[in-house]
Amino acid sequence: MESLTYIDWPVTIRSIAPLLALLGGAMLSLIFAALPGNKSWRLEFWASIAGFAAAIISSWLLWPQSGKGAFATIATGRLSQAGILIVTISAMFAAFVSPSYMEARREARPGYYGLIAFTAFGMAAVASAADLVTLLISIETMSLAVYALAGFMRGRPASVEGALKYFITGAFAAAFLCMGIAFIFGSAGTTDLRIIAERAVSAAADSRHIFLFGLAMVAVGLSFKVAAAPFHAWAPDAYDGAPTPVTLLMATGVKAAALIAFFRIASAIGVAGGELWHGLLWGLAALTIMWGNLAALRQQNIKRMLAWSSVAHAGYMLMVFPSVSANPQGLVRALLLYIVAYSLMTAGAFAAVGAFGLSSGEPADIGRFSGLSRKRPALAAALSLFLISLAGFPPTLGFFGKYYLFLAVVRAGDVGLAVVAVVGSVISACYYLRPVMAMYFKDARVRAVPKAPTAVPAHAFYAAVVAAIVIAALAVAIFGIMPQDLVAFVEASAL
Amino acid sequence: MLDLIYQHITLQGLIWLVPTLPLCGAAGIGLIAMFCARSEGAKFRNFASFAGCLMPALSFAACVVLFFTLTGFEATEPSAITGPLFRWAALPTLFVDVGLKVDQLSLVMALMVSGVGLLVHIYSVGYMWHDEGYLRYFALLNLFLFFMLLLVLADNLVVMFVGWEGVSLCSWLLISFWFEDAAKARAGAKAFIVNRIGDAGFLLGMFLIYGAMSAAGAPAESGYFNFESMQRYGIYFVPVATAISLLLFAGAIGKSAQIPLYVWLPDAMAGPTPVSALIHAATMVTAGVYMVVRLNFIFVLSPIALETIAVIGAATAIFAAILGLAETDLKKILAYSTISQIGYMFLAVGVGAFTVAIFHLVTHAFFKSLLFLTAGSAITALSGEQDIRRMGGLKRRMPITAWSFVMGSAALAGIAPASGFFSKDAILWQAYERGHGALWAMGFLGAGLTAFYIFRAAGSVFFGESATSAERYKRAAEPPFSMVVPIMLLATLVAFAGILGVPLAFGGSNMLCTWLGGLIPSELSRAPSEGSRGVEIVLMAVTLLWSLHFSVLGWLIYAQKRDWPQRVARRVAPLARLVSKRFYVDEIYDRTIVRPLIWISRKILWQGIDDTVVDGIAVEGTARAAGLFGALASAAETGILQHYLLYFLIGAVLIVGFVTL
Amino acid sequence: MIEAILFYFLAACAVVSAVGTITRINPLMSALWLVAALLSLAGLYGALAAPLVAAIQVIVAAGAVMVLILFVVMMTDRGPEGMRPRAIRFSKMLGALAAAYLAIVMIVAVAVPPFVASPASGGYYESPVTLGGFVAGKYAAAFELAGVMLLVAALSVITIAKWGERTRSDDDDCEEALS
Repeated sequence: MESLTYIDWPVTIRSIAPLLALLGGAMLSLIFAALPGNKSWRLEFWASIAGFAAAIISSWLLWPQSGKGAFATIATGRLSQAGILIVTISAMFAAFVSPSYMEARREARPGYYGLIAFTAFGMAAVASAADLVTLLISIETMSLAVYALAGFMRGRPASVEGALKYFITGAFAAAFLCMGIAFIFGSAGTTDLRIIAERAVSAAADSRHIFLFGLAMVAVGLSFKVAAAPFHAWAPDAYDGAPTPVTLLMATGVKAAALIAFFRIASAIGVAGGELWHGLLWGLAALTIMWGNLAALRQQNIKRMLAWSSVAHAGYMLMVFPSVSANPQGLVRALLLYIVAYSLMTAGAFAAVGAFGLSSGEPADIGRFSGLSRKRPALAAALSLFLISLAGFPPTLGFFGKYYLFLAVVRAGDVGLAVVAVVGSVISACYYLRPVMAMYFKDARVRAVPKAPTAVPAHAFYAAVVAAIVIAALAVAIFGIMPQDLVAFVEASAL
Repeated sequence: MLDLIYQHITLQGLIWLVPTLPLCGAAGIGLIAMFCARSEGAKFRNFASFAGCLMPALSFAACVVLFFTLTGFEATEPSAITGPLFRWAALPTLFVDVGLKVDQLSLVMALMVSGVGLLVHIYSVGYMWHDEGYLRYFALLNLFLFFMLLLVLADNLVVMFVGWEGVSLCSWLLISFWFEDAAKARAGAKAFIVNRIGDAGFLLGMFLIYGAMSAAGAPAESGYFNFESMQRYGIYFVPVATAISLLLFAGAIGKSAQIPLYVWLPDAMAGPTPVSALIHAATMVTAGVYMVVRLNFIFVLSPIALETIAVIGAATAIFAAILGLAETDLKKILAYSTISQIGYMFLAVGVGAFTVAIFHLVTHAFFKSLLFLTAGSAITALSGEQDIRRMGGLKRRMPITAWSFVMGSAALAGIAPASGFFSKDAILWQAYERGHGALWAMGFLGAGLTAFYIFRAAGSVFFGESATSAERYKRAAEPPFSMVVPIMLLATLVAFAGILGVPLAFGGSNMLCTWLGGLIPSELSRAPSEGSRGVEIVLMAVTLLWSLHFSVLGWLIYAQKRDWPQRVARRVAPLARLVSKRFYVDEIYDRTIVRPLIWISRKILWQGIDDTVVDGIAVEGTARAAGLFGALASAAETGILQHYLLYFLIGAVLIVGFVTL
Repeated sequence: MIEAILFYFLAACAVVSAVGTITRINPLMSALWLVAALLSLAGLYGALAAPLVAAIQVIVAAGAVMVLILFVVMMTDRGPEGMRPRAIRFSKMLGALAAAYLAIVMIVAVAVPPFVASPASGGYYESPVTLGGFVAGKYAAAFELAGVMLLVAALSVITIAKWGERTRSDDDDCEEALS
């Protein structure tokens, strides 16, 4: 017990204030959710938003002062603050898009925003976990909430089915992760990543197979979370079935958090893995890029297409890991920048798809986007911007992120991997441009378009959807042309 | 006055304005043309006319200001350089700056280009007014002017090449301006492709220059292709001077339509007549001459190359003149005459008289564009009739045009005091004086032929009886004011431009040549021989009489006795056929070069390599393979959870096995 | 010696029980086999000189959790007559082979090279005092997180299962309403 007395509580609470803010927001929305009445979700919504806002503000204020600090098993450095900012903003996007979407489907039930808030808390904890045990528990916290969110639309069998698949595969992956952590603990004698980083080389020499086994298992478990091939099979079903705002959250925040955690582990133990680690992650990244892009080619449903695209993008981001020990600073910068870029454009794309779905319902078949440019030009323009950015055309943020990432990968010596990524990007242009073509160069199929919904749906929270899309579009466009500020932020955040 | 101008703009800025103003015009009009449907575009015609003429006018005004600035300079070598606007390419071993240079030579060219360009633009307002592509036309014409000015003002070979290619592009676009007509589109393509052949030589020459410069150890920062540094290191070109000169001259042959690459120019007459006047008579086709004069310091290093140039020039002069004799299409007659006259310019260049070549270039630009513009008026008046055998007597319907044409013809034929007399005789005199008797004889012969064919045309079109239908003849009238004014201005220029180069023998001062001579080292070192003035006067008189004789002959025959030629031709039928079929040159090229090439590209490259290998295997194969893998990846997505777990497990096993074993 | 015999006996028991858990058709039988597996594991912990963990395993996992599982099974189960053993398919065989391969790799990884105990891995968990110190000290954050995780799990289950059922009118989807 005496160890508790050594903790400087005011300092500690300040340093983990963003996490506490998120937790407080989540608790508050849980309390509001329990209120009687059909509209309790509104209070719940505002409570979660308040939590996000508090977390963003506190994290933004903390960011300049935090160096490499840590409290117990929580890292509070700039990387953590940047990660918290990214995941919280993703959650905020998801929350903004949700009310009108759920309302339109008559699925607005209490508990939804509480789950989103808890997901946000879990993601923030994942992004700042400095210890394998903490990491495992935070991943589970995050995942449990997301499983429930994915299956939230009980009226849609696809939603429940996707959630079930996600849950079972996730449990499977958690077992692998847990086992890997146990083996690493057995080899290094601790779960603290900072100490593991110091001991990794000697541990790998002493008990090589145990260490490598644990390393492989951890890689498998985290690959599931970022949806890397061949652990991605759940992603299209779960992304397609989940409510679009939840898909947004899964594709952006969850993936971003898992990648940051992956980076922490990789920079701690990757160097001890040597050539094997390099080959393993090289293969994973290349396979994920090619598999994701090739499978996306055939998709007719835009949500499935975006799901596969998120698999491919996970592959791009995995490219930083093979040579992570060569140049951790430069690679984490590239990774962070790409995460920001990817999160913004994916969030925007899903928000736009969700906004489109408000008027025409699921499933969002690509053919239904025909002629959208004439009916809703602003929405069509925004969606095109996001898709073009995802494909990596200049002068969008997607292009800049890709450029920065590929450059870092080439500098780290993985030229072959960069070539694979470029080939993948070329393939990706084919499927990203198909909806754009449909929106601008095809006439609407008369039957498929209902009469009434051509007008903008009248809903109290539609403004929030518009705000989310506009913010994402502005960020993608402006940072694409003037990325200096973003680059400066990312470079200062890198450890 | 000049001070007032330079209070508001720097000298460099003024130089940059010269090419950029037409570019702005092209961009502005082009944007409107692009974004307005054809019917709506009509509303902007007035704007296009205004902007399209204003930009060349301002550009011309800037040139005039530059002229007075330069003549006001104290130094013996007045020239101005903008300095690099920006560094275009900075490789470790190659620096290319974008810069402009104004000296006597480029200024004379720029004045001529923008001046004639301005007049042709004004003429075009009336000529093209009813055309659907009015806006497109003016955008392209402005764009052409930009590239042409870039070409003449460039301070290094690379920027010059940009202009060189740019004018080719505009030429192609304007020849096939009425692209709905397949024959016209094909004529544009022919011009472009034939030009490419010459450009290959030009590029190879540039590579050789690069090689010579780097071998000479010239500092890369100054730019290997900069004219100044090339001239400074000129001595290092000696070993490869012949090769460089001949390769560059190959480029000039293509651009300036000399033997053997002249075949595109007659076909290029498919474009609108003002285009023929500006691009295919006055400016672009003479760019080859300008380039050779600009790089005179390389050419003088190789007597063999100069000899070749002179011979090709003289041969072209006679050959094209003979073709002009039998041609019946008015515009094609003028095209052959252009080829022939450029041959004279190359003859002058070849004998070393660079300044005289430029003098003839300038006067030719005036009188040939005058001829084209008047011919265009005549053709329009007869609603598109181009065959001189079905024209005639137009003098009574349109006297201004007719007499302007005659003025141009006189200049072309070299009849004093029209400007062509001075320049052509200067060429012949230089050839004779520098000891090239045979070349002089060829030029002399050509001068007679020239006089004959152009007065044949003048007589057929404007004099004698009308050979066209009566109602058509009745409808023929003077063109609108906007077309008459440029014609009259040009006629005035043609009449008096000779003042620029009245030879010393006539008590003149030979202004242009003296002024230009400062630039050309070989010209400076050459002392004019004093005792030859008598010979010069005698030769001039002889040439004048010779040309006059043929002029009157041509005019008489074709204005009064039109059945004579037929009878003569019947008597020497094979020869006449040969000439009227243009010596079968097009057919020979077709059989020996074009068709085999087409066969190779169709059978081997297209069907053999492109269709099966590139398209079949590489492109579509890749797409199909991607589709197949995509299908496989999608098929793996069965939707069955057990399968997903199986993939998961297989992946885990592979990873664990890879890492631990 | 006797420790080793005990260890391997218990390990064999755990493996056999685990196989029984996943091969039984009757869910009740599976649950009982699971109890056996968990108890064997508890024995293993005891044999490895971690009595506290062994006790927690018995009380929490084999006791409380299993009781819950049995409740659920018995409340929802329609009995073994509704169940049929599935035919063994290719993919299942492949899965089984992969699992076997994975097991062999694991055994090889642990057994073949000399297993060197890591410096800090011994002597942590004998007493509740040290464990409590870790939970309240260095791992306080993880401990609190675990609490949040349980809360989230409860919330997830509730939202998936029942909450707000009354507010839903019927299964009409907006998609159906629109098309």
